[in-house]
Amino acid sequence: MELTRRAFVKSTAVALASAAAAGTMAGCSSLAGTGADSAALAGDTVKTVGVCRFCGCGCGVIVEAKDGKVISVTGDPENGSSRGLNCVKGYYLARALYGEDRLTKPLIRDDASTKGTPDGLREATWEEALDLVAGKLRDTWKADKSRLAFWGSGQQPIVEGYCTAKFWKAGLLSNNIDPNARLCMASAVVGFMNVFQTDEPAGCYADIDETDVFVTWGANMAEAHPMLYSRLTARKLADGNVRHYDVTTMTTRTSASADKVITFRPGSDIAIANAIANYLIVNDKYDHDFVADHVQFKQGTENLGNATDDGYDKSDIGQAVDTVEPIDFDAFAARLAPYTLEYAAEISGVPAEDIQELAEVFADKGRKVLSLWTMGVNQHNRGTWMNHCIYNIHLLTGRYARPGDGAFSLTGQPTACGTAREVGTFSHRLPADLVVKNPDHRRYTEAIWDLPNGYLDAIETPGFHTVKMFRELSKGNIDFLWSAHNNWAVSMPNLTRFLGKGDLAGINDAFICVAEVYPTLSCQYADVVLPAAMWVEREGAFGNGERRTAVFEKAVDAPGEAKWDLWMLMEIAKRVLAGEQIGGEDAFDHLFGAWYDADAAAFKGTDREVCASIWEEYRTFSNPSLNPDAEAINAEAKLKMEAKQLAPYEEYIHNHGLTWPVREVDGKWLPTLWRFCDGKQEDGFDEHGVETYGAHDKAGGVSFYKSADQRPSVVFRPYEPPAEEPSEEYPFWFSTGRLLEHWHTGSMTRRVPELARALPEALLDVNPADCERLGVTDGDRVRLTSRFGTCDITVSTAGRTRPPEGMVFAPFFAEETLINLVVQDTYCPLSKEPDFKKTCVSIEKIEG
Amino acid sequence: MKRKKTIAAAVLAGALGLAALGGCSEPMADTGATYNPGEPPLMPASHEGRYERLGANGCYGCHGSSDTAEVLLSMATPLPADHYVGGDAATRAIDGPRAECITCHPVSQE
Repeated sequence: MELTRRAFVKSTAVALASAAAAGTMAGCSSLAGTGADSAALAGDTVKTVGVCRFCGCGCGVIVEAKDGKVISVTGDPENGSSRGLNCVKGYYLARALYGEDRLTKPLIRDDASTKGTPDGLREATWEEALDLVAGKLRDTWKADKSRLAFWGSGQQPIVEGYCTAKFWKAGLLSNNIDPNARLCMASAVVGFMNVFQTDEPAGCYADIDETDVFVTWGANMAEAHPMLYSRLTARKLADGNVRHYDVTTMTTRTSASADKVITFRPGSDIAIANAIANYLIVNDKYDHDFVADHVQFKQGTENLGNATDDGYDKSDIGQAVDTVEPIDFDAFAARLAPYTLEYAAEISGVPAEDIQELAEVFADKGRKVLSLWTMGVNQHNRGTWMNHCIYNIHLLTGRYARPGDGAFSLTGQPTACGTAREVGTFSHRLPADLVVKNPDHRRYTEAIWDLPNGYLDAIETPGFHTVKMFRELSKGNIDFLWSAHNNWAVSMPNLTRFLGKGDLAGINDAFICVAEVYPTLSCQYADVVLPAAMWVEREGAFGNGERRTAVFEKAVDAPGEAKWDLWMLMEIAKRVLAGEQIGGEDAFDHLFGAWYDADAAAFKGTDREVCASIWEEYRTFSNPSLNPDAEAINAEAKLKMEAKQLAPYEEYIHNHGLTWPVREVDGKWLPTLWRFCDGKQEDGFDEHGVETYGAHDKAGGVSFYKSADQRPSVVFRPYEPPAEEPSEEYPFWFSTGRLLEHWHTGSMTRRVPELARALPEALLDVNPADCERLGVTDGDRVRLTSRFGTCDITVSTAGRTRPPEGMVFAPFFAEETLINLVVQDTYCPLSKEPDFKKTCVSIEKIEG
Repeated sequence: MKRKKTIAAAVLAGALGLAALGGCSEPMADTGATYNPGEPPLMPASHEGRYERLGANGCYGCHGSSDTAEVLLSMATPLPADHYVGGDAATRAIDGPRAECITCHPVSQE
C-alpha cells in the first residue's frame, strides 16, 4: 500500500507557528523544563506535554505552568492526532481548572432526606470519609454482592480504569461496573465485535486528509469533534473536487460544508443504507474480488421489539438478539431485494434520486469514500444494526481499512477507547477485549493478575449494564453506588425515574459516593463527595478515537485536600480488602502492592513511576511474552493477544502518543495507522500483523486477520421502526446532543467565563413553521413533555441546529434545564446503549 | 510587490507585538475581556451570524492581510502569523485547518 502525499497540515508550517508563539512568550517566561518535577523554582514557567481532557479527538497540548498554576494551554505540533490544532474548549483548559467552587475537602451527608437539594453536605476529614465509604462498600459486599455498583467513564484515565477494573473484578469478584461510555459508543463496540471480532477502528484520522468523498451519518462533527471537522473542511478547501454528503435528521453546523444534505426521517437510516447496498448488488456495482477474498454473509434475529421495559433483557426475544446464522451471497441479496430506492424513499422521506446519487458515490471505484459517524448512529434503538449497515456498504465496495477509503466510528470521549474499551471497564469485559464469559479469557487474566486457577469463574456472568444499574438503583435494589469522572444526575436518560421522581425509594436509601472536581447535580444525591484532582494535577493517559495512546504529564498540584482518584481507590480498596486473602497472601498487597504501600497510605514513587508500573502490568495483556503462563495460554487458545500490542510507557511520552499496535522493529517502537492494511510498518501500515497472522496479496491489499476465518461479517439487518413515533399526544421528535463550547454536562466548561458567554443556556431549536403553529416565538418558555417526564425550556429559531418541521433539538449540558428528565431510556437491544435521539414530545407554551 | 511586503511585515509585527504583551494578559478592545496566551478571543456579539453567512473570507476581510483591508487601520485584531500557510502572513492564505474560524472563536452572547 502506498500513500498519496497530499498537502494538508504542513508540519513545517505548524512548527514555525509554534516557534513564533514560543518566542513571544519568552517575554515573561524562562526556558521550559522537562516536567513538573523540575518546577520547584518559584517564578519559573514549566512546559509539560499533555492531551486535552474533553472529547474523543484527543488533541495534543502543551501545558505551561507558573508558580504552581496552569497559565496556558496551546496546541502540541508533535501530537500526530491533532498536529498543533485544538478547539476553543482545549485552548481554555487552563481556566477549567480554576472555577471558584472547586471541591477541596471531602463532604459527608448526615441526613439522607436532604438529597436532591444543594444543602446537607458538611466538610469532613479524609479519614472519616474513606472509612465511611469503605465501610458501606464492605458491608454491602459481605451481605449481597449483587447490590453494589461502580459507574465509571470514558474520561477515567487508563491506569485508573485498569486499577478500578482489577479491584472490582478480582478484588470484589463483581461485574457490577460499567462506564458512561455505554451511553456513547456501546453500539459501535458491538458492531465492531459482530463484524470484525475485534473492537477497533481500522482507519485513522489521516484518512480525512486522503479521501475524496466524505459521508457523515448522524454526526455533527463541527460541534462534537471540532478538530476533525477542521481537517475535513481543510481537505475540501485543498481540493475543489472533494465532496461531502451529510446524511442527517436535521441541518447542523456540519451541514455547512456539505455539497448535499440528505435529511431523513428519524430512525430510517437503515432503510437508506440497505437501499444503497441493494442498488450496488442489483446493478452489479460491488467489488467482486474484495467480497470473494474477505467477506462472509449472515442474518440474525429480527423483529426485536424495543428494550423499554425492565424485563426486556430476560425475555425470549431479549435473550436471542445476538443470534446469527450464515447465509450465502444470493440469500443476502434476496433479503436486501425489497429495499428498492422507492421503498427507502417512502420510509425515509429522502428522494429516491438522492439515495441513488449516494449509492453511485460508493459505486465509483475512481474515488475514495470515508464514512464518519457519531451518536446519531450509536444512540439509536437499532444502533448496532446501523453500524452493521454502514460496514455492509463499505465491505461490499472494498472500502475498508485502506487509506482514505474507510468507515470510521468517531468516539465521543477522550478515553472511551483507551479505558472503557481497551482496559475493559464494562460489566461483561476483562482487559484487552477479553470477556468474562470466556474461560480462556479468564485463565489468561488470572495468569497476569497472578490469581489461583479458576478464581475468576465467580464472575463468568456479566453484571448490570448502565441503564440496568440505574433502573435497579431507582427500584431500591442497589445499596452502594460509586461514581467517578461522570455526572449521571444530568447525563442519564429518563432522569424522571432515576432521580427519585418515579420510583421514590432507591436513590435516598442507597449509599452513593461521588468523586468530583466541582459540585455537580450528582453531588446533590451523594452521601459522600470525594474531592478529586483534575486533569494535569496528576499524571495520566488517554486513548483516543484513532487508537492513539497519549500521556498527560503532571503539571501542578491539586488544590486544597483534593486527591488523585487512584489514591482514593487504593485507600478504599485497602480498607475493604483488609483481612482478605488471595492465594494465601494479603489480598490488597497481592493486587496493588507493586505500586502502593498500604501502611504508609502512599504510592511507591512519583506519579510517573506509579503510572509506568501499572502500565507495565497492563501492557502484559498485549505482550504475552512478558509472562510465561500468559504466553502459554495465548498460544494454546490462539488468542492473538499481541495483535493489539502496546509499547513501554516511556515511548508514549517521547513520541507524544502512539497508535496501537506498536511494534518493536530494530529496537524502535513503531505505531500502526492503517490496521489490517499491508505495507511497511515504518509508513504506518500493519506489516507485522499481516505478516504474523494474515495473508499478503489479498484483494485491496488488506487482510482481516482478527476476524473469524479472516472474513468480516456482512450481516443483513432490516429496517425496524423507532421505539415510539410522533402521535397526536406527542407530535414532535426530540433529539439531544453536545454543542461546541460545553463538554457533556458543562460541569467544567460552564465555569470558564468565555465558554459560558459564548453558550450561556440550553435552547430548544424549533422550526419556524412549527413555532407559528404553536404560537411561540424566540425567547418564549415552553414545557416539553414525553411519556417519561417533563422540563421547561426557552424556544429559539436561531439556535445552532435547524430541525425540520416536526422535530426539535436541545443540548444536554444545562442542569437548570435538565432535558434528560424527558428523554427515553429505551436502548439498543444488542449494545444496551440508550436512544437519546428519538423521544417523542409535546410542546406547550408556558404563559406569563 | 513592495506594498505587499510592507503590509505582511506590519501584520506580523502586530501579531507578535500583541502576543508578546498578551503573554502577560492584555484586554481586548472589542469585548473588554482579558485573554491569556493561547486563548482565542471570542467574536463580539455584533458578529452574530457573520461567519455562517460569509465563512472565513468574511473574517479575513478585516482580520487578514490583504491589499483592500488593513487590519492595523481598521483596528481589528490581526490574525496571528500561525494562522497563515507557512506561518507567514505574506502568503495571504489561511492555513487550511485554521479556516474554520468559529471552532475557536465563538460569538459572545453578551
